[in-house]
Amino acid sequence: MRFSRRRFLQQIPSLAAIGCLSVGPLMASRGTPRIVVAGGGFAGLNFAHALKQLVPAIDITLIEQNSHYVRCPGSNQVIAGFKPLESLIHQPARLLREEGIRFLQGTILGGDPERRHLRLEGGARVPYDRLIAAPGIDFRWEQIEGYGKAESLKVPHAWQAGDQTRLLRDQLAALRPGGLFMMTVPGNPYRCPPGPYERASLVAAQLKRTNPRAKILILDAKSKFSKEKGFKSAWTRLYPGMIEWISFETEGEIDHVDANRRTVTTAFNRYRPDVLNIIPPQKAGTLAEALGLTDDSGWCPVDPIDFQSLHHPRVHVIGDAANFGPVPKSAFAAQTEARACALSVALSLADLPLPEPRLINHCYSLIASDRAISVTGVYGLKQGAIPEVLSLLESSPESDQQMEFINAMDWFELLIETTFGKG
Amino acid sequence: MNSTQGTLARVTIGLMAGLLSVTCHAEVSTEKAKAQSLAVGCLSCHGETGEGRGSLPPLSPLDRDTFIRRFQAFRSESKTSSVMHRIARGYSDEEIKRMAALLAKGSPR
Repeated sequence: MRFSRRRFLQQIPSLAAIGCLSVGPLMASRGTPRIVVAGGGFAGLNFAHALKQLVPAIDITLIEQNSHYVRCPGSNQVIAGFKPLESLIHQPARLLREEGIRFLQGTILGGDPERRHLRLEGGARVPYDRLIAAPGIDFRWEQIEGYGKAESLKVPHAWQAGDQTRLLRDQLAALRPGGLFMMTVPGNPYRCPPGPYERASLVAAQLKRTNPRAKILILDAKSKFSKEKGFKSAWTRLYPGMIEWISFETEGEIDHVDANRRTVTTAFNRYRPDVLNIIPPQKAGTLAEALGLTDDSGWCPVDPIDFQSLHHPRVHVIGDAANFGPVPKSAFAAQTEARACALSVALSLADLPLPEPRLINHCYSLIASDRAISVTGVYGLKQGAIPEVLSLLESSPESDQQMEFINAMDWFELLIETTFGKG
Repeated sequence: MNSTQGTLARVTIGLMAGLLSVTCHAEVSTEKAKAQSLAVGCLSCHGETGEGRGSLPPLSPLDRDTFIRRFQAFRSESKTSSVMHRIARGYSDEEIKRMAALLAKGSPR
């Protein structure tokens, strides 16, 4: 069946009704409000789709640096050699055009939150009534001595997809027989908390076939991790003796990295793996900093009712860059944040009261090419103000893991289709 | 028909006739918005129209009572699933009813 957004409006006209109601004071006095979305990833695109559905007449411009988007979710399958790199690449421009959303390819250098405009490379200014910032993540290069952007061209992070994904995939494909693959994992918060352990699992699944004496070492800045029980039991069962996880307590902090010699030195040891993957500590995308949206944590504090920046009114921050308390930084969470934010923007433009958001993060991790585990969180607001966990449960009995894989693939297909369009 | 459904139905009719006052708009939209806000998470797996996808079952064919009964059964774990028993714990009876009023078959259109 051809996916149709129009059908959504026809079938749930209660959403469309909000569109009909959006003749608030702003529209009456100034015409159609101009909504600008900065960033074309999972958060930005889903916000634009959702708001356009809620308020079909609204004027939305989405600004993104690249014509195509290379997604992180699914990239561990590419790194491990189970899927081609091309499968990660999407071009959302057609879907946006069909919906009547303006797609502007450009680099945002900064902006003026008082006068409400963005400045693009080349000098153009883009005015807005509401700005939705969805800049994703960037790295704190200074945090690991010896590991900066230049070094990442030799020793990949592969935590933003694209050339980095290819580099790590190629290095792993050339791993010598019985060689060592080492990953370093940062402390919380960072994008996709269980991602490093999924990466280790899938690489192990591939190496078990192609290079069974190879070893994987995970040096963690944490003493526990997401879905730990599920991952560890899968490693014991599926990849006995292949994956070793070293906690912060055991090894302490990384002292420095030497990218040329491919070494990692800690307080106690020096490691010299054959393939090294450094996942650096992270912060909100640089655009967030340029717009003055970040605090000392490096992430963007927001009002949890409507994701409005605590630093600048009429600027909302969604996705990985936002600090939404206990909600993890995942594509699933980004999509629900985007939809919740679109609803609150639609209501506030119509001068209507805002409900409390209720977010879900349901996150699958593949532990083999046909098995998955998951963690599910439901998040609300305590006393209407502070994000809190209402339910947080991990799976998954072994008997559910193949079903969870099938669920994961179906959910993923839906996520990709709703975010980027079909085909 | 409970008061929520009654209000929603009245509003739908009112909207069609284009006769509603601004105050009434606000009241109704608030009720709808609460349901929409609660249901945001449902759409990620069950689709934007509740149409389902492959192994992820559709919501749109469920009548309201079935929707509510199933959701509550997941919460008490008398009905099993790989996922829904974990999600259901995060919603109260009142919230489940609100979502049913938005997503189940026969909800005010």
